[in-house]
Amino acid sequence: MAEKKYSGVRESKPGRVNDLGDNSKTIEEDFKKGCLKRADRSFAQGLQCQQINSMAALMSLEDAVFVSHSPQGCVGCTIMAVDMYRVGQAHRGIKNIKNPRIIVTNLDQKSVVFGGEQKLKQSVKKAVDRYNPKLIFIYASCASGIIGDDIDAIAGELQEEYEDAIIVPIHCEGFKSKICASGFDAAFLSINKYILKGEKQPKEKGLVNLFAPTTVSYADQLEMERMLELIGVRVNYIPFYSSLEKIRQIPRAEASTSICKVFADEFMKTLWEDYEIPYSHTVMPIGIRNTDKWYRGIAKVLGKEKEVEEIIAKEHERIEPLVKKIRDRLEGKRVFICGGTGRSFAAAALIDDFGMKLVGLETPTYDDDAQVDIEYLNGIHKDFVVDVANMQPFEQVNLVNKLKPDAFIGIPEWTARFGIPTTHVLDGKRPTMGYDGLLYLGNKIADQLENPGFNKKLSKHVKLPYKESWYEEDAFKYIV
Amino acid sequence: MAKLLDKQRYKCALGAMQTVQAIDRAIPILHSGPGCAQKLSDSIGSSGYFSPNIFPCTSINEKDVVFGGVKKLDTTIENALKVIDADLFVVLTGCIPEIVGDDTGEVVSRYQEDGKPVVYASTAGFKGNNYKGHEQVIDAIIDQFLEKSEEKEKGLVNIWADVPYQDLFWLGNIKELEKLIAEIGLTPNTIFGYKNGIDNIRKIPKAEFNLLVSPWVSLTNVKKMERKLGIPYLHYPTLPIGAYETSKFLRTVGEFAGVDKDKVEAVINEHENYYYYLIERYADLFLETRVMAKQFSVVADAQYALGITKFLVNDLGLFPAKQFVVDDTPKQYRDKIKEEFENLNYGIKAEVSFETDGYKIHNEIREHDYHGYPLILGSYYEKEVTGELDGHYLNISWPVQDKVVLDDFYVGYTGGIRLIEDIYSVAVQRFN
Repeated sequence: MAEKKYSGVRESKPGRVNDLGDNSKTIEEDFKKGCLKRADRSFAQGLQCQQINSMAALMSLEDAVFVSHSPQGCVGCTIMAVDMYRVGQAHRGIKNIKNPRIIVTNLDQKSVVFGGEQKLKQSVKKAVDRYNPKLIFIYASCASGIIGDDIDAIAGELQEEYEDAIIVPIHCEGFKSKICASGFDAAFLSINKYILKGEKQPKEKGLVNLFAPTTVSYADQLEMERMLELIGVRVNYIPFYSSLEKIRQIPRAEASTSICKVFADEFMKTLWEDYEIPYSHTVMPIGIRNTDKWYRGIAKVLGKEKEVEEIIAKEHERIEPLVKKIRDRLEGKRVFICGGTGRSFAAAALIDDFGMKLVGLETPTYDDDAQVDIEYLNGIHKDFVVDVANMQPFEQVNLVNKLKPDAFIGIPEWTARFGIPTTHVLDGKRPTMGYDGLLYLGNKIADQLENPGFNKKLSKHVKLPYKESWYEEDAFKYIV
Repeated sequence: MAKLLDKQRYKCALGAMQTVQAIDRAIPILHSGPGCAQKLSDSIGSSGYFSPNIFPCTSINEKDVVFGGVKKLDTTIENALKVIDADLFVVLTGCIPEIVGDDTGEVVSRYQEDGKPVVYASTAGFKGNNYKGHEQVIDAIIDQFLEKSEEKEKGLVNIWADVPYQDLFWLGNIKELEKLIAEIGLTPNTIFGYKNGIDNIRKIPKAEFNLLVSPWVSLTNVKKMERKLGIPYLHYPTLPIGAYETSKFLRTVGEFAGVDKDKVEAVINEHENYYYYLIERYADLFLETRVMAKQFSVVADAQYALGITKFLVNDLGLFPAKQFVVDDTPKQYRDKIKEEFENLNYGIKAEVSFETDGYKIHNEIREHDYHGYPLILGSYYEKEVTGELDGHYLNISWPVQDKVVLDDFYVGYTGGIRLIEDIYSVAVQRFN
């Protein structure tokens, strides 16, 4: 138990790699033998940084102000959070739709030389004067980290001055990790340290923490809650569209689970260690197999194995004929998948429901969790190419050009230019998850793949921005 | 000291990656932290050919912070030249390399010595916003890529306007400006937009003059070109929207370029006839729409705040409430811009506030009596406050979530008509 405290940086976990490309069977074997090497890329394209994830994870919390201790560009991404927050409110029936409150300290040349402490103090003061929030989150940035601003100490001082707001500094400096999911961990580490503080509370029977990242739609929330209510659970849905009160309920839960493989997985371990809350960490509930697995996982923790099997049998009876109709439209298609950790593997499992074949999979990290999925996938799809990459479209187009799949699931921008039909499993505004989500998603995928007209026309008129010679090269040439 | 920002209206200097991607077949190479390209990208259209995820990036990690990222930059440039099919590579630096002291210029100069089309601009986020970054990129091209030309091309005019992508309508605007300039017999040259790439950059030194259509952005660039390349410039500070200002604009340019007056007047006459043909057909709508207050506020960068204020006052007969310029206009330009706001027809003066703090702006809008449902033209942030006031809202400045623009524009005679269409499409949706 007495391990070293987790730093929040995902690379700190032994055996986890970010830069890798090979055949799925070889990777499975190499991982077993412990000989996957930690590499780097000598040529790469832009990534997502962990600060984006720390911000996105929390920006829908009520009564909060978000202070980015950074130069002005680091909040460039927050318009996405503004949009998600506004849409989420609309879906939840809120009439006067609000914007999140975002302040940037705007570190400048002087701060780089003399430190940004004053700017941070002023920003927090403004946050209190203007909005009187219950929570103030302070996000570190590359610049604040390198110039050495001690945001913990500054937050501590400010906390004494402003007693009505809880001030939560988050260590999400972009350069610390190439795995953007580290930003989720950084946010949760700080929530534990500054809000929950290790204080145990009496448990409430039937209360379950359901952790959800930014990209989960309200429709998906309702489906997850519906399923959990069937086994007698009351859901504490966090941190999306939740509040300080809901965060404070976390230690009272009987169990925890998450909707995404890389969201709150480390935090749930902490909750076990600090508050003795058992948890289920399985897969993202997209597709029949994954939904079953996810459902059984949490039911087992709650001792509801028998009940859940009855419900699963009933749900299967209800949806299998409908899934078959989708399968008739999609069977046999060869697919290339690119996505985040949770969704890429979920999509790979999903396509089996529809009788499609996996030829390539792009996912951001490889670790023992990924190994479980790869073993399963190797069992159903002979072999396929795995590109462990955070984006890197140049590798993707090289592979897609060689593999010539019938369909592509993921960010469609580049593959579409080959005229290959594209679709997705990520929809932050509409259903994708659980038994009902599967039908909505499956029918949408089938509609989209049956009319490749837009992509075909596009491919006739545009060219991807790579030299012809690149397509002849090994896609993994720059992984060194 | 740079002010903290509540509801920010622009990005950091590295946002100039969007200036680069507006140049056809030019690509930025980012020497920066891992998330910068994604943070600074928008969902308002890529260059098409390139998009932020395509941009090569050194994605600096903890080790590079300690030991420097120069080696990684070198392999990234070297391999980008092998993999990416582009005409111009612009290396942009983010915060980290400039704090740890990487000598980016030295690395890039080695490629320049080999005759490779690589330039470098310093665009650390802590050094300023993307308006500044935009000027830095143009400066880099002038300094590292262009040489003075003794040979001039008769009638060739370089046109410079506001910042691509920061300005939602940049593509349509620049195309319309080119069209207007061509109509009075000059040859426009711009480096941004469709098919405007490296060939147009090479043509810059041959121009007879630079035409800058912006209250202040790129003024330093055209001055630099005057010094270094011997190109004189005409600074037209108002984005001409609608008939009144566009006719004035054409006369000013025509006079500066020595174009025959009759020719300019003929062009103006034809445009004004059609413009007022359209206006007349809908005059009832403008005269009778009582649900919209006569007062309006624009919350935008200097070009739209000024351009739209002049248009709504001089052409449409509306009355200005306070106007908000949110682009952090450098102090030395503010008085001149203020004078322009005070120089409206019939002695009307518009009060203008150079304010970057969204909280204060919203409070001022709330407290002002517009004598009816206000018309607010601004960024997505203004949607909330206009909603509170039951007002009419149009998203015309960054950040944008409420409008899709492919090549729409507000500049010129046609642009004025487009803006009227947009405003009254909002107004007529109110049924009470």
